[in-house]
Amino acid sequence: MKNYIAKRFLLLIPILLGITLLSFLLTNSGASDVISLMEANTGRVMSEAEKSRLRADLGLDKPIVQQYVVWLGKVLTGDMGKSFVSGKPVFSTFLSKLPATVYLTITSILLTVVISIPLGILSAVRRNKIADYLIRFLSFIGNSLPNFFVSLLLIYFFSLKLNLLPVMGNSAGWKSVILPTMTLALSMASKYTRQVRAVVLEELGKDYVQGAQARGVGEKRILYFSVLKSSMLTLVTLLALSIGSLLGGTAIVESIFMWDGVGKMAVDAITMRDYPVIQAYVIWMAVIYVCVNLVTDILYHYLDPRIRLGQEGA
Amino acid sequence: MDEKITVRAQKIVKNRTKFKMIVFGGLAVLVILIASLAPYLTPYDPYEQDLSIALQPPGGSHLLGTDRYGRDMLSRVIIGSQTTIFSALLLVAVITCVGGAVGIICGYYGGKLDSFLMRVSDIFLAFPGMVFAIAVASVMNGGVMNAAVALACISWPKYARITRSQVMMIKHMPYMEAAKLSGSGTFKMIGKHVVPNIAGPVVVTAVLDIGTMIMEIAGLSFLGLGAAPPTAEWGSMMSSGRSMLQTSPWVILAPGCAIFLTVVIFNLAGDTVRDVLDPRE
Amino acid sequence: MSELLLDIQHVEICYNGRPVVHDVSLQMEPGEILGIVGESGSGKSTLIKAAMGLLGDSGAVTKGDIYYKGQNVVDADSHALRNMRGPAMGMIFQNTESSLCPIRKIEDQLYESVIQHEKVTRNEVRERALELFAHMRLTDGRRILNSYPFELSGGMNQRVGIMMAMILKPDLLFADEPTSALDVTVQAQVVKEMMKMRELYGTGIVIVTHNIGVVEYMADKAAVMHEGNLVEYGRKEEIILHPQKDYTKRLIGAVMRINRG
Repeated sequence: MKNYIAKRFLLLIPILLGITLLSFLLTNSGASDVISLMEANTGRVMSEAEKSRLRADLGLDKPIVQQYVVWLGKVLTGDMGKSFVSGKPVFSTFLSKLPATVYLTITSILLTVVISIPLGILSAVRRNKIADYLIRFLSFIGNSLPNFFVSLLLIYFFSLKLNLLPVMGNSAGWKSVILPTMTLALSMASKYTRQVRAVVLEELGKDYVQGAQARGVGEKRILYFSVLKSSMLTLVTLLALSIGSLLGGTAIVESIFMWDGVGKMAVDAITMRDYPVIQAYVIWMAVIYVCVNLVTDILYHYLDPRIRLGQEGA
Repeated sequence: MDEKITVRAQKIVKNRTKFKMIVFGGLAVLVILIASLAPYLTPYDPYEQDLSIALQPPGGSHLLGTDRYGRDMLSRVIIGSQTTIFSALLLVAVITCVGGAVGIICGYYGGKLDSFLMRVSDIFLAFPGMVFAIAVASVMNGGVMNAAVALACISWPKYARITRSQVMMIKHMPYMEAAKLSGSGTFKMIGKHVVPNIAGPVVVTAVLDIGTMIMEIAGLSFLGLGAAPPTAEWGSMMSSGRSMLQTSPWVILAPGCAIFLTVVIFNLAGDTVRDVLDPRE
Repeated sequence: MSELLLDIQHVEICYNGRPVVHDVSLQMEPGEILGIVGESGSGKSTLIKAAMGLLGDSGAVTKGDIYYKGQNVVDADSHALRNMRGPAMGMIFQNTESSLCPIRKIEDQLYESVIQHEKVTRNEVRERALELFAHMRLTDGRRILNSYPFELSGGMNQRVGIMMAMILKPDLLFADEPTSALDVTVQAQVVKEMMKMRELYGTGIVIVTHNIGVVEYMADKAAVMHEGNLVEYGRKEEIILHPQKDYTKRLIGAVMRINRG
């Protein structure tokens, strides 16, 4: 068990290096020269000599590999550069906006789980009956609606027409989080419900269900104590994978609802071509996602007795 | 409570699938046809501005109303289908081929090349979906083609994985060994034996991905990273109509519903393809 | 006339519309051991699943009836069936490990099946289980109860299967190829343990097997099935020593030949 954890952490290193390398190459071999961008953003025209001096100062005339190493060194000490727009250190800006995104992510995951697990189970148990068809129909519709469309529809109905909820911002307390959460949860739940259904269906077809029936155990008990327990492991892993698309979706949703998190920060940075911010966003979202998957993987190995005990010999 | 699934019932299921294939497949083809012939189908010029009739609600001579520049919404939706649908189709085709090729190489040759390429794809997979696409698209300064490239970067690993595991499954099948023994060249073997046998799940995934790609391209355009005005694209149309959500909702609803209906049709077609190629009762 | 423990009358069973068992009739007295022998696909497992109502959604008894002590099993509703499974009819599977939830301990699953039918405490259940294990001459019953199915060997799992089926002292025990997946030495032990249950509790046993040697050892009556049909049926000695039908002769002959070779 401990060996496994150690191995996974070690594997993490090449992935983290790959993430940083890819992000670095992405933003530093961009179409526009960094200096020209600074020029455009600050509105100050510089002479060629000035520009050459700045390039040398920033180390932009050195080979790209060297630039990467230098940059990586800075990143590891927490220096991710300064925003082209605001001039503030990127890392601290990122950290200040992260809690809002985490808050939104957590509420969305909770809502998704609350919707998907009961509906997925119902759909599996009442397979090919009305309830199943209805749930599959609804999740099909949910899968076919892009999240920006859903956001706008929700805003239209709840904020503008019914005046129940605020249109944007995170200032109205718990009310502001409802619409963004609903938007994110809708896409996530549409996919996740189907997955829950598939996993539960597979478990229901396994022999131990018949075994329990042969012992006279009731259907409900088999479902909640054996089937669900067996399904949990896979379901948790699938949830972790869904978090990936959730993290990606926060960009659009935060931007529409003016939710002041890292997603909105990134979208704003895109319009301003604020590369250091974009770079930090990309790297950190990837790191977070990788960590979530790592934790889930370790959790899975710990919770499944077959793996936990099997490795120590039976 | 004798519920029997008789032989006759099984035949009904088979016929129903055929029926679904014809209907949904037909609808998908129809959509592609509309997109191809779009310039000839628009009742008005989609780029012609007439500020005197700006922001008219749906009805009368403009079935879906007009936008803020007085352009006919129906025409813009129709012409927008070209950009949205074709870029999605092209994107899916590219990632299927590129991802598929990588997967076949990995599965077939294995070894160090396999490990390396899988690590590379792991790195791409480490980036949560749209995050990377947004970054790439912004670095490349927008445009639909660049948005498609951005999405291609993050979507190819899925196909590499599918084809790789498929190839590894069939690598040791008797007919593969037989073909090798009979001296077939590598390319011939791949073309004749590998591809047809792994095509099933790949095709299913590809068709189901068309809908997803349409939504993602529209999403990137919505953020300003895809199509630029005055190109009519459903996502960017919705973005420019945002401020008028309360007063003139049709400017957003028309392209939004277009996206929805198109995705629904392709998803239905994809589900039916899956029933045909990969049925799991 | 004493009541028949199990009365199968002209039963036809279909899966997905296709008949797999044709016109089978068998009777069992209380405390008897009936051995049903045949090759794979002969319908023998299907038959006993039908007797416990475990055919699933795609299978059904389309003709005939099955009576347990006069009660019609085919027409019984799910509530009645559930009450019978455990206290009245028990089942031992070919692979006990796969008939148990892999990530729950044996004791938990045992306790769960008992409290569906009786009001007992965990301790009482544990005591009963240990007693049954003792009859099978297993001394580390506590360790077994505290294990997960995958931690036990095949033979041990089958004993667990016997224990779990017998814990509610059913009058009728179905055994679906209980020894087929075991090593030969373990097979003999498991067979003996099953016979001990009949000795101790008077349980009638229906054992389904493709191994005619087991039938010869254990059974009072024997039934031979082939492609869903009942080929021959009668007292064990009659069938084994004086087989009437060709198929039975071939079945017996095949085994004898292997033994001698």
